Amino acid sequence: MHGLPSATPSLSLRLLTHTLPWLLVGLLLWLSVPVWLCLLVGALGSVIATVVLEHRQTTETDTAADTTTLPLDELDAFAQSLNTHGHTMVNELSKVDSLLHNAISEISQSFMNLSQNIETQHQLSSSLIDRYSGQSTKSGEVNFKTFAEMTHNTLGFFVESTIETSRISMQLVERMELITQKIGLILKSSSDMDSIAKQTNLLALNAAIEAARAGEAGRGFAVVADEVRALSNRSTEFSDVINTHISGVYEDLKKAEDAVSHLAAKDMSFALSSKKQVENMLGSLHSLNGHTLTVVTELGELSQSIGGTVNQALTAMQFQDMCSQLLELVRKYCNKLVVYSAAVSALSASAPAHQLPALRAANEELKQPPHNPVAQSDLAAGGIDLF
Amino acid sequence: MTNTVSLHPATRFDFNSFRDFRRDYEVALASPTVRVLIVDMKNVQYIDSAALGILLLLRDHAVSANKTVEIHNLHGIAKDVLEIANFQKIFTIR
Repeated sequence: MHGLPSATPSLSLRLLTHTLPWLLVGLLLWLSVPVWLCLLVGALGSVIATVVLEHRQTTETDTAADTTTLPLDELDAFAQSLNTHGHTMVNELSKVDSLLHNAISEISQSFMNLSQNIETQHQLSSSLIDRYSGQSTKSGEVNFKTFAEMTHNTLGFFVESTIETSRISMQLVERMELITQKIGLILKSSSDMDSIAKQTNLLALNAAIEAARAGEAGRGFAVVADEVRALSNRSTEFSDVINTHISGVYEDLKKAEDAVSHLAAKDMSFALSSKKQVENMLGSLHSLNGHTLTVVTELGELSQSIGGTVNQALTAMQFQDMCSQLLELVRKYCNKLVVYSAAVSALSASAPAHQLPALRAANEELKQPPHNPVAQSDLAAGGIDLF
Repeated sequence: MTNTVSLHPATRFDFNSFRDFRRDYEVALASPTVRVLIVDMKNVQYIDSAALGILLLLRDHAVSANKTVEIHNLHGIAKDVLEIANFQKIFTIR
C-alpha cells in the first residue's frame, strides 16, 4: 500500500453517527415499542452507521488527499540512499559481469586447448595402432616382426648350407674310401710284382749256379744270369719305392678325411638354441604387441571420450551468455530504482499541488517491468548447439 | 615285409658312425628286392650335421637305385634337429 496517511474524520461527525441510533432507540421506547425490538434496531443502526462512516472516510481520503502535504525531508533521504544503493548495485553488477566474462573466456580457452591436445593424442594413438597391428605401409620401416622373421630365415639358410656342406663332405669321404680301396689294389699289384722279382732273382741265382757248373762253356751265361739278378734287385727296389709313395698317399688321404670330417661334423645344438630363442622372441613380441595394441586402443577410446566430455563442457560454457543477459536485466531494474529515486528527489522542487501526482506517476513507472531479453531460464531449454 | 630293410645308426649318430652305417646301407642298396630303407632312430641320443649329410647321401643313392628312405622312431634332440633341417619335407618320417 503506497497511500499516504489519510486525514482523520472530525470528532463531531463520528459522535453524531454513533449516538444517532441510540437516540432512535430512545424515541422507539418512548413510543412504547417492545424493549428487545428497540435494542435490535439500535444495534443494527450502530453497525450501519459505522460501515457508512468507514466508507465515507476512505472516499474522503481519496478525494481530499490531493492537497495533503508530503513529508519531503524523509522522502529525500530515502531517495538519496536508494540512489546510492542503486548506483552501487549497478557498479557491482558490472564487475560481476566482467569477472564472469574473463573467467569463462579463460576456461573456454583452456578447454579448447585441451580439446586440441586430445585430438593430437588421438592421432598419435591411431598411428601406434596402425604400427602395432602391422598395417603400417611406410617403406624402409623394419618392425620387430619382420626382423624376427628375417632372423628365422637367416638361421634356416645357415642350417641348410651346413647340411649341404656335410652332404658334400660325406660324398668326398665316400670317394676317398674308393681311392683307398684302389690304393689297396695297387699295393697288392706291387706286392705281386715284388714276388715275381724275388722268383726271378732265385731263378737267376739257379742259372748262375748252373753256369758255374758248366765251366768255361757257361761263362757267358753266368754274365747274363748276373744281369738278370741285378734287374730283379732293381725291380724290388722300384717296388719298395712304389710302396713308400702309395703309403704316403694313403697317409695324406687319411689326413684329408680327418679335415673333411671336421668340415662335415658340426654340432647342431647351435641351431636348436637359436631357433628356440627366435621362437621365444617372436612369441613374447607377439604377446607384447597384443598387449600394447589393447592398451593403445583403450587409450584412443579414452581420449575420444574425454574429447566428447570437453565438447560438452564447451557447450555448457554458454551459461555465461545467459548470465550476462540476466545481469543486464538486474541492472535495468536497478536503473529503474535510480530513476525513481531521482524523481522522488525532484519532488521538493515542484509545486505542492503537483507533488502527489508526480509521485504517483513515478510509482506507475516503477511498476512497469523492463524489457527482458532472456526468455529461457536454463541451459537445456536454451538448446543452442555450438558444435 | 620282405622288401624293407631296417638300418640302426649308432647311439651317437655322427661322422665316426659313417663306415658301419654305410656298410649296412650298401648291402641294402645292392639288394634288388629291397624297395624301402627304414632308418630306425630309436637308439639315437645325439646327432650332428655329418649324420644329416649321411642321410642325404643315402637318399641320393636310394633315389638312383629307385628305392625310398623312411625315418622311424624319431625323438629328443634328433627330432628337433631334423625338424630344423626341414627333413620332414624330403623324407617320410614316422
